[in-house]
Amino acid sequence: MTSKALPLLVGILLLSPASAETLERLVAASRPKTVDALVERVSQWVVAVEVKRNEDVPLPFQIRGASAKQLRNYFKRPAGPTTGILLDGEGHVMTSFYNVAGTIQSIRVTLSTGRSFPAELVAKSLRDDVALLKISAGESLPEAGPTWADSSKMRTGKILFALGRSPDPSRLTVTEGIVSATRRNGGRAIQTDAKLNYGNAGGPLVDLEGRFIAMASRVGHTQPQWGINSGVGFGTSASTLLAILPGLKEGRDVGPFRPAFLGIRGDRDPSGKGAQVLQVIEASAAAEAGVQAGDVIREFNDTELYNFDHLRRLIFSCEANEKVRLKIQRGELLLEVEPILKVIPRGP
Amino acid sequence: MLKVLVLLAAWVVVWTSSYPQAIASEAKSTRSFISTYRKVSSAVVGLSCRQGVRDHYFGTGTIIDPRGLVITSTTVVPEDALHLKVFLHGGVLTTGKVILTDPRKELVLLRIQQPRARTEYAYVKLGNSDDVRLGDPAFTLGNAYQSIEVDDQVSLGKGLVSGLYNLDATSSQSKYAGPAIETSAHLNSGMDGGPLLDRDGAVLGILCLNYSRNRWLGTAIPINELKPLVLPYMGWFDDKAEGSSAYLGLELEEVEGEDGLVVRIICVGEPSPAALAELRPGERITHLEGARLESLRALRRVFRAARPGETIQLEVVKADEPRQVKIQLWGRY
Repeated sequence: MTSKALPLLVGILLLSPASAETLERLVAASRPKTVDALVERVSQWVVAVEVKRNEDVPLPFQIRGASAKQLRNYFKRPAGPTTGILLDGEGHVMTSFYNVAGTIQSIRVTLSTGRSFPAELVAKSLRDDVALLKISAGESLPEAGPTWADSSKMRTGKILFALGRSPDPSRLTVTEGIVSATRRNGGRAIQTDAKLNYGNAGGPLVDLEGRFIAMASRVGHTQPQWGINSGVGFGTSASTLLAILPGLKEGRDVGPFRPAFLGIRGDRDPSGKGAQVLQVIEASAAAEAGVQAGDVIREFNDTELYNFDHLRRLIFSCEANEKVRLKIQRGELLLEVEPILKVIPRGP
Repeated sequence: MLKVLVLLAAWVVVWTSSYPQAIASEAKSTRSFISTYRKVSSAVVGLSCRQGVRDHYFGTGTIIDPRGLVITSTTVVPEDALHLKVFLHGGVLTTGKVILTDPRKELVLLRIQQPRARTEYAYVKLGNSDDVRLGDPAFTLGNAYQSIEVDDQVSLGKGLVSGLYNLDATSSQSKYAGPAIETSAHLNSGMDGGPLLDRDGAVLGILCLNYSRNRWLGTAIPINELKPLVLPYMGWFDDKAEGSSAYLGLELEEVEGEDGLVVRIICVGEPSPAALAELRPGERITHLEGARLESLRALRRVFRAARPGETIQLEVVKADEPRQVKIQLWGRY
């Protein structure tokens, strides 16, 4: 067997550099075709969203001084369309909530065919910056929605393309990049280095085969400069969207993310096993569950704790009103408590 | 042995999955551009000038013919520019003479004042921006933050043609409105006036400071928008310059035709007046100045007396379809 395989192997090894070269050249030559194929696959469900508004959301900071007018103009949302994703033949369109924020007069959705329809806001998720719109069309719409990518196969470094329909609704734009991180915004969004802009918001990020990975959104941003592409952009993951869309379709809004608060101060000694409780804050989740100073928290939701910072990081990923399970060592005793996390209390 | 087989199997798996292929294709397209970059970068020049006492301008220009014709932008060389400096490849500093300014198309053409007589400049070919498609690889070259002026280094950016649309409004520095090619390749301060190149190193457009506020990405004015203004100046050289002779840009041969000898085009120089007149190899020249052309010698006789700037008239036949062309001869050393 070995003696037979050897010449074959040598043959393959001799051939391989040349054939690899040829393949590379073929792939390189077909690169524009990759985008052509992408455009063909996605153009039907990437739509333009145009919004008329009476008043925009206020800036999150004050602008004063001599150049205030100029600066306010600079931070103003640019005119023209943004992007949306046509989900189904019923006319559901998904976009970034930021695109439809403010006091709205009207929303219009323009399809790839150039046909334009009025649309209404069905529901929104501030948590993931998603708005679900519905086109009120008297006629049938294309049945084609996106092909959803398998989120379990998401990897950092995967090549993606960001698509948009701005500034010209009749023509797609495409910027290239990679997945920079797979679990941002509490595991609900991805991060990409593809250049994302105002016009991209609400548009899809797709893989090389045109499968829908995420929707370019504003999660994690508080600054209105967003859109001046920096190489750090975010997209709400396909898996997150699949989970929240049924609720949105029924008209249920999702509020903003509320960070959770357990209510203990701890010993930040990194070497110890578990999280040492030094102080329990009055009327906090921990106090109500009966956690006491001097306790050592060994486990959080069945995860063995290494130190206090480990616990902090796990609480960061929780939301207020979430019930968690703690395993506590008090002297010789081993207790289990289930506090319901609260919102972070405001300072005096 | 088993180890080798496992390694080989692993290699095949890696090789056949599409993700590394895409990386490989990225690497390949960059690698293949490196040799192109070496050729074209010596034709990309840094420019700086002053307007009035205070305003200092700097940017990029591209040499587009062997006689040192530079294409750039009015955002780099404004009207009434003073102290124009041209930074050539190899740290050579010279100056240039503005021969055309078109503020509407934001176009400036200038001729490099030759530091040495009879220099043939490296130049970049003009591409065809009508053929540009979304997703084509694109490269930006230029004097980013004065990289050419300071370090004799042409900055290179790599990306895609990421959008094709009309720029309706003009932005503060740019006066251009019209069709634009948007690119995801970097466009930094000082790169305006420089070239947007395709993968073969041909100019697709001239980098422009205007942009869409929905996109915040670099744009270029498609070269085909500028060609009608640029082409008449290409290759043209001062006809009074001493020692220059008329240049047509054709290599010809005599072949036996059905009725006697015919003159046929072997190849066409690039750039040349013949190339501008769209003459092609294989076409036959049947008439010169209205008279039937019997031999190559007759053509040579007429041509020897011609001066740069004069126009000659030819009748050219391709596949039995004759057409008249008028060609203005260039000057050449």
